[in-house]
Amino acid sequence: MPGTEHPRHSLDELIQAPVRFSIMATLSGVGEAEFSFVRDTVQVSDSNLSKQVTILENAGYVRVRKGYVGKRPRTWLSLTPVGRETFSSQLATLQEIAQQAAAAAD
Amino acid sequence: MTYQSPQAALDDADRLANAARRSGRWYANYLVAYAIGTLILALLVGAFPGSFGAVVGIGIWLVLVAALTIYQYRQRATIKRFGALHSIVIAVWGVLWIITVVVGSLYFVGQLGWWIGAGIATALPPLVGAVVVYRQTR
Repeated sequence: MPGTEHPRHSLDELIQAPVRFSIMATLSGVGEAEFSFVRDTVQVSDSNLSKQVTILENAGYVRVRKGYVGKRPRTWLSLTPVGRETFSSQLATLQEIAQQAAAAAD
Repeated sequence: MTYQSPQAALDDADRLANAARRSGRWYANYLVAYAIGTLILALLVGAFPGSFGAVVGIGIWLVLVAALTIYQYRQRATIKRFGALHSIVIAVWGVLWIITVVVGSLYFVGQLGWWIGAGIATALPPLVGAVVVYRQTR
């Protein structure tokens, strides 16, 4: 496609990684979710989730809130407005690529 | 783990977001219980004017609120805009409940019809909230 940039160039590389993509997808469906809920839904270990969440938090995509329920500490995760917008845009780009691939296959 | 295609990533995103969304449905159950509790409280106050209805009603209400608080703390995810929806439901419920009690105590003591009607009206905000949550978590 001379003169046009392929939509893959607008994909955010940070959330292309499948685990980070899955974390963002899970959080996109809720207001806030407990750390253990995201761990179970995405099916990763505590340490891997913690590592990936730190990367997403540093990028400004995920907010981490720590609190207590009774005496038990709990960590809550949510998408920031920037994270929600970025993930939405990522899905739109993937949709565009999928449509182009389907059109090319026809 | 890698995705075979953009479509596979989209399908997975859809699956994960839907699973997460459904986990917020507990709040609809919470609101339905809140609405039923409201109606019971109004009926008790209306059917038993004086301190008996009020004492029993408030006792049941406190138990219900404690149970709902424990239920809420056990949940692991909330719906989107949970705080805003909860604030609106409780604020509208609060205004209607104050009207129910003040007007009922002044002008409709012992008139069950008022307490049934006002109880239903006061139960409506949590019920409408429950419908909103059910639709959001389908």
